[in-house]
Amino acid sequence: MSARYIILLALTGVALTALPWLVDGLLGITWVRILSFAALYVLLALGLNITVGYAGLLDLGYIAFFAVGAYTYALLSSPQFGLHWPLWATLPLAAAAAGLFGLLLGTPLLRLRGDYLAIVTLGFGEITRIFINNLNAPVNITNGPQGVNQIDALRIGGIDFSQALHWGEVTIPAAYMPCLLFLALAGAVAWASTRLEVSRVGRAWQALREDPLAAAACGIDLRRYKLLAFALGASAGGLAGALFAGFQGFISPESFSLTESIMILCMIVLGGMGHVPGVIAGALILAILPEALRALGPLQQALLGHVWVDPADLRMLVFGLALVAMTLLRPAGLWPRGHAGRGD
Amino acid sequence: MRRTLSSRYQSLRLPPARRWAAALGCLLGIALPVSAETLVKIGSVAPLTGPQAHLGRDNDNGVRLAVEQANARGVTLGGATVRFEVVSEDDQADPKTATIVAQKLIDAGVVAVVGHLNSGTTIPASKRYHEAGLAQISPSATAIAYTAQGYANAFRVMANDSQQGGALGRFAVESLKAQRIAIVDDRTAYGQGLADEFEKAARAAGGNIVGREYTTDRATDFTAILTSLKGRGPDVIFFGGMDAQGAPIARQMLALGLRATLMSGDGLQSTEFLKLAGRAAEGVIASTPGLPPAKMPGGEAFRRDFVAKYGVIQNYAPYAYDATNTLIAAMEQADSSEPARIVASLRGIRRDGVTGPLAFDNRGDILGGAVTLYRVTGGQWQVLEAPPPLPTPEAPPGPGAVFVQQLINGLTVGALYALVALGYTMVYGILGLINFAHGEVVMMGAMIAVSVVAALTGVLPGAWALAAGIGVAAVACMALAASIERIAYRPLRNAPRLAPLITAIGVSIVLQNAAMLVWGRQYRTIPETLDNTPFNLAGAAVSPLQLLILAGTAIVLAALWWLVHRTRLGRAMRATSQNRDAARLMGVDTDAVIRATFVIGAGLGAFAGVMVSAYYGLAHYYMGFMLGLKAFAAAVLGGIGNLGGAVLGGVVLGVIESFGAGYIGWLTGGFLGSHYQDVFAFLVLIAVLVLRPSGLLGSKGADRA
Repeated sequence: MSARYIILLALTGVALTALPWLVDGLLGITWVRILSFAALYVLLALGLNITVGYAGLLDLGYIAFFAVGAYTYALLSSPQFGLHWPLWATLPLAAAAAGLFGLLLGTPLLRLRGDYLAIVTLGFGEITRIFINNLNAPVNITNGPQGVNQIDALRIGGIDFSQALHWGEVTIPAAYMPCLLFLALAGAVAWASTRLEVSRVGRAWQALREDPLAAAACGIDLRRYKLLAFALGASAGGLAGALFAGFQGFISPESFSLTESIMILCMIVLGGMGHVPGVIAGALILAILPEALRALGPLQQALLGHVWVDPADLRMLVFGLALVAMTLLRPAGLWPRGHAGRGD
Repeated sequence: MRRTLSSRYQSLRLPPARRWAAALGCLLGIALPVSAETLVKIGSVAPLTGPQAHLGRDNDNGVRLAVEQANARGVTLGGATVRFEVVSEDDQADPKTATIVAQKLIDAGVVAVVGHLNSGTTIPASKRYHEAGLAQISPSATAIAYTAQGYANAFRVMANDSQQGGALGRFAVESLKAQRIAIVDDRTAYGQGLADEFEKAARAAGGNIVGREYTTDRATDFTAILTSLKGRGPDVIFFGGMDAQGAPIARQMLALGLRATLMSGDGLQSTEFLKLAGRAAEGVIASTPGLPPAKMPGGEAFRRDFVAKYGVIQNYAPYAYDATNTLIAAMEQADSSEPARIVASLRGIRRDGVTGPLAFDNRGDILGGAVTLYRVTGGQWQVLEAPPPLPTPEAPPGPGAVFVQQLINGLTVGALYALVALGYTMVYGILGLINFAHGEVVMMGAMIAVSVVAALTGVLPGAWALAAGIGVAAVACMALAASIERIAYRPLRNAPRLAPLITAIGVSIVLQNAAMLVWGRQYRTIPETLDNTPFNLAGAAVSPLQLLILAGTAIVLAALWWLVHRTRLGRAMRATSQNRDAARLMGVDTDAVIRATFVIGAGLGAFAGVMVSAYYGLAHYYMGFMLGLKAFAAAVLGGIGNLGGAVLGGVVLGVIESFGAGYIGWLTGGFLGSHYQDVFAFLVLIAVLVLRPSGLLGSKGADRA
């Protein structure tokens, strides 16, 4: 690790910390909240990037891991079972539960490739959602479609992330707290991703993605690396899920639909599969897009006197068009990996 | 200074002279800096965009009307004249967005909030309002959990699920004297909540519950669960869910010869239900919280004012109107617009609104919570005065007849799956590509046919209109498929594996949303083109449409077999699927063959789509997704790339689904139920791919798995 690298990391850290203040100053406090959600999406996109971008395993049921993480946290920190475990236990547990789930899901799928893998993972995602929606009888585990309410807020040590923090004379407003936490974690996972990419594991994934037969011929244990990709990607999703549950205080199965899986896939396709800065850019763009599209309503009203197309309806249409256009015109994404460097 | 309702309503009707004076006064009030007017902001939040926009905007309009009328009559608080302003926010019926806009409202400085519309958004947002100390009155969220949280600031003006479900349950047992009650819910927070409360109340009143089945809020096929229930001879079936599912349930009950009375809650009690269910709506009983319009004090005046300004009342506008007026009344009672004092004042308020008397119990629920029952008589919703006699149910069919019924239903659906699966399997056989967009092409066929049939219904006799619909849909879908192949797939023929798959997903999303933009989000009905009275076959009710589907599929398959095995094109297709390059060397125009494959698949799919919409009586922009996935599972089950396999797979899958949904509760002793209906197709797919990847009849592309 060169001095330059460490300085770069430090600067990024400072920039991330300053971001909520910047956003609030420029756009208002609502956008700080939107940024918090965007940071969660970045986490999700980074996780899916490991599975799809690095290892080339198209997973269309990724949201299932998000759900597993969210429900693990919710069941351990809410009136549902009366448990209120501390955050330093529940966050890793949620990530681990999701990772385990990823392992379980991945094991029967090791032989599948490409199209089949995509459809089967989609099926698993849907099955997970249906089970979560219905596990309230005969034993009430997930409380079914009513969802789990009054989930504990995120609390580390004495710091409550849903309240403002008073530190001597400095006050950090309540809206900034979760934003900072999520940005920090997203930054950490992004950094870990970049390190993984250049590690031995990352090279094995690259080989697996580009030509599985040749990789196997070179002695790479495909099974192990595929499972590792599934598990690590799932853990990131689980972590994001736990944070989401603690942040929102209420989760229900309707937040974990196939549409979300496809949206996350869109994010990494748009941004640049396998390239962390690209993935982050894609995630931020698509997370902010619905808010930006909202402006279209009044715009249409002002220009045309009548709202012809509901902005909310446009969201998925734009996603679909983006997918098609990107794959046809610029398959490497908006911000692909530069060709100088790890053999591309 | 407390005003009663009656004096307020009288003063709303300002004579012209006073109206001008008031307007001038307002203008002066704005212009002159020395005015003593304070601005008080009231938040209004509901889904203003998206599938429930019509309901959300209705709520918002109710709030605005109340505020407008309050401003017109002039309200003084603490000695100063007050002008109310509505701050509207759109929560898109999404919990995430709801918490964001809740924060927006709090930051905008509103003193109280009327909202949200759905329970799923009201509950998470209520936490924010509670932390900010703002009063929140929901006009339409019915989940018990909302007021069970113990927040002093949470209120609602509509009877909750417990009150509504309870009233319905008691009514069914005590007034209707139902002997055998069956319950179905759609596994949403609303449907399940209502159904659970109904069951509790019915059992408490001594009712006999003979069955409990489940479905989803996207389903259109209820034949499996209805057949299963028919075997238990119910005289009342209670459905917890919305009109978009209630309508096909009513229709399928008719088609299956299930003579039970359908009961439901406010989700069904709409004009949309009447439109979608047609003939089958007759005799359905549904409830709505609140008093009937005739008994609402001030209801006529409200209706007149609202319709004049905003057009037809969708559903919950009166509740939003009442909520806002109650808020304003609470402010007047406390003589202050301070949020904490509004909350305290609301707890003790007592007034009459357009939906009935308004007061809150100690949890924030409406005290009393009147519920009105309606029944469809002569094609219209009429207030139910006296409980109608229940038709004596005929003897329930024996288990053998139920089995035959499930089999026939399964075969029919299976035939439809087979038609769609052929499209998947042909494309896969030739290109090695899963055409994700195929399901959406089928959906397009159905939607186009619905439009065509609707346009031609008066002009041509029923059967001809249907045939014309099929013809136009087939041609349109063939053109669509050819364009998709040319634009989205051909450039990527030599691209890495992932690319065409991602594009296919993208095309599928584009088609789905384009259909939504063109045809709208609501379900479309296809007019009845054929006389569909069922006839008896070995105890099962078979409808002519089912026979038409089976016969039509057989004919189409025969034609396809002839094409593939007896024509030049067929030979070229078989050659291309064996080895594309060799075929090209032999002089086969592979591009044309590939195009022909897509086109033929689309034609079959269009026919299937039209048949699906005729069978269920509905078409919807989302119908292609599940159908496509299941048809793909069928193709894999039979052996991908194998035409006979696609047919076999389709039929087998249809039958598995039908029997699965019908018997799973019985098989697992109640542990699993029909709520896992959709899971069967996926489980079959996974099992096949893991255990026997080449499928039942052997596949062409066994190396893919």
